[in-house]
Amino acid sequence: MTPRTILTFALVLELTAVTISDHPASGVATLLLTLLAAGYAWSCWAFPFRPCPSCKGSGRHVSSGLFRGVQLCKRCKATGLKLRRGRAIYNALHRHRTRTRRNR
Amino acid sequence: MTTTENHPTPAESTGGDASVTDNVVHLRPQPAPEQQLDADPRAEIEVAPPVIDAELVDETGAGDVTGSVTLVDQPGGDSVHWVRRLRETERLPIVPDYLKTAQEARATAVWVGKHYAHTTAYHGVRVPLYALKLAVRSPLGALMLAAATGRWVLDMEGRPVRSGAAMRQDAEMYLKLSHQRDARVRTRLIVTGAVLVAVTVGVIVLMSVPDLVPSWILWAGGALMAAALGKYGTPADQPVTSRAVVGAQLQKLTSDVVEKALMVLGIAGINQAMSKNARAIGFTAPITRDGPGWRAEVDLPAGVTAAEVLDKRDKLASGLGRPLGCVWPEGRPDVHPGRLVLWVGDQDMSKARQPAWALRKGEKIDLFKPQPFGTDVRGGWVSLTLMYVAGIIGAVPRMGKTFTLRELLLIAAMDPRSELHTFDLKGTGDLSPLEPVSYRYRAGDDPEDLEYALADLRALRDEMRRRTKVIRELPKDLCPESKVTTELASKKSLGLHPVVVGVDECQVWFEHPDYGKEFEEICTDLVKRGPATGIVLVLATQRPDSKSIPTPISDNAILRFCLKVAGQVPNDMVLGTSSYRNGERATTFSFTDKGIGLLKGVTDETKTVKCVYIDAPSAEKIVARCRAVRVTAGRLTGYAAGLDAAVDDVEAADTLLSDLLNVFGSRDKAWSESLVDALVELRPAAYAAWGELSNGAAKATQLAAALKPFSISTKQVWGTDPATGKGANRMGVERTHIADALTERDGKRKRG
Ligand SMILES: [Zn+2]
Repeated sequence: MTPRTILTFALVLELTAVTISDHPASGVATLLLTLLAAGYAWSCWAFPFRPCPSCKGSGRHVSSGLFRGVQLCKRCKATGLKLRRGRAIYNALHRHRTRTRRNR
Repeated sequence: MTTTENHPTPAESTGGDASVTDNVVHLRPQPAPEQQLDADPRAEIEVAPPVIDAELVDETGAGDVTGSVTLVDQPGGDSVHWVRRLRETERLPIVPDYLKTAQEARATAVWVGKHYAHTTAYHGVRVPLYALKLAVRSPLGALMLAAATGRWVLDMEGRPVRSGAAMRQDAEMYLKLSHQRDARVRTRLIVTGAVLVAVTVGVIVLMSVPDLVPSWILWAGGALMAAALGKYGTPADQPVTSRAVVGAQLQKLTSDVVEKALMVLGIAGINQAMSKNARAIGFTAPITRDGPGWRAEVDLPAGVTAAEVLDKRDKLASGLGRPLGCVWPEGRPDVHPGRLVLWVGDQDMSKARQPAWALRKGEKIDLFKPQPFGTDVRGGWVSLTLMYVAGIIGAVPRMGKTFTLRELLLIAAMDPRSELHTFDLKGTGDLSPLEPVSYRYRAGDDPEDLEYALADLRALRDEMRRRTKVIRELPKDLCPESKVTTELASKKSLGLHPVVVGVDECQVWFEHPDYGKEFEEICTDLVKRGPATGIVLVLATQRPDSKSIPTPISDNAILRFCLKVAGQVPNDMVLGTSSYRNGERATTFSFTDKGIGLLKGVTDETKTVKCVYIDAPSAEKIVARCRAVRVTAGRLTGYAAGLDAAVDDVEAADTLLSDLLNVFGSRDKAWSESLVDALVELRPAAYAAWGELSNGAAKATQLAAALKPFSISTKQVWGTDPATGKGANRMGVERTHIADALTERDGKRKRG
């Protein structure tokens, strides 16, 4: 927890509070959205991968033909996992940051 | 810079410089490197570690250097023969110093014992406080323990690896790691659960069955557990126990610190050189422990002398961040003027405990051998031989000058043969402890005191002439160097015993309007010729200038001890001409450096020495012992024996009565002939003619004649012949007659 994250967090909370007091309806919506975002962020932190949408996490495709041939999923290279979009964005940001820091 | 290197030569300084030098070498034909070798005479001497050579070659681009390049520093180890290397090694003592004597060992053991007793008591008193601290911290400890267990169960230490896999989008690896994590968490959950269940069951059983174990065990177990949790919850920077002893500040001295300290001195030469070359200050040896401190040998940048640094000792101490009394820079003019030896002690010299003085008991010593005088900055004893020297002690008032003189005179008093002439011209009685052993003693600067001193000095000059003659006439095998030896001094018949004259505030003598000239003349003579004949003159003054210590005296003095002085003139007056310029500066002492001064002339090199602090009661105790030794040896004479000379008495050279009383010793009556023999031995110069008389009868007649003016007659006395051991009646004298005559004469003098 850097001071900057804490500050951002506090700002978001305050904004939410202000919005709730002014326009209760949109305020509740904002609160819900914030909670949702937080939940998604947490899942990106705790479980960076989600089941592969193509093979539903099994890592293979079972054809519905007569011989029921099994084919490994090419999308997830048979792991059945796919990086969450949020995590991918975070990774990109992180890489960018370390790169610029090194070049400083 | 933490490595040691030899003198930085032009070639091995920075890479930039080196490449420039190398370029020159390449442009010129081959001989260039040889010239470079010759150009710097130091280059041949030094043998730098081979690593530096390798670096040098690398930095300057070994690739384009083809053909032969002569390196300034030749590869290979030092080519000195191994025998020579062995010879130059220093043999460390087999038994450490603190165990050498039984006394030292006992002292060390007592000290160690006391140390641990103190530590135990200190913590014993604080046990309740420690318990309270642990109790307060135990809840936090429990929380932290729970958190740590949680982290362990959830395999948090593996998280960075998994996160890394996610970062690389390495799903395969992540899958593997997740499986591993799952397996771990499963087993760890089981283990933790089992332990928790066991503990809970145990606690419930212990609670429900009252007499299973004694209650004190329960309490002790609970306390132990709470203590363990409290310890676990203790932050690293707030320890439970406080420190019983504060360790000495054994902060290491590093080259960085030394360089920084030298750069803050504001010496232009150092700062300019350092700005051009960060390694302009060279270290000629590793910084090592040396006694209770660190020693650094530094080569200052070219053109800077050690004296410039010595002058700024206080700034150097500030730069090093140590008390002034810890920082002792020394020059080594014998190596070169830019060599600085910096010794940084762990403790302030004026506060450090001085080891026990070997002479504190006042036992008999030999003045012709070195005797411990004081400790140097490293705490080691510095010894000096008081014979064959003439000394000057100088300092501003209240810095321990008189104490130093008193110490020297005490050392002198410990040799029972020595004859002490003590003159305290300040008149405060600081030298009064020496009264019981002094041959001549006066405190004060009244006219009669000065006349007494002058008479004594005249007698001393005559004595010196007599001694020169005696020494000259001695056979060469007895006196090979034409000076007194300890064997010669022991022979009563020769009368060459040590004579030590100590004068405090000697300027009173030399500045006297009437006698000043004569005092100066005699003292100069004594300083020049006295040492070889066994006469030692030690002068102390608080205003060392050409008036208070006449130039011929200060030029010829050998032992010089300079405590804090105010400026260059007094410094050079005490330590000798141009000593200030050579970096021997007693001006850098602070006012807390009492009894600390520069000792010159009697040791190999000028040393900073702290003399022994002997307070008046200890001095009196030492003197009492000295007096006892003298009485046993039959060496108690002069003032101490109640036979002080009156002023005109010395001029008349009439000491017969007092001499007689002296040789009587404890006897009531004695034969005339044995008295005469003793007189000749006591004062060979005065009674030389009597000693040449052929037989006992002649001697008896001579003594009878000499005693006639005092209306003392000789008569038959029973005694034993020391040669044959037979008793006989011969002509002799009774002691009471002599004593009566002496009192009568003294009474007349006083009235007249
Ligand atoms: Zn897939």
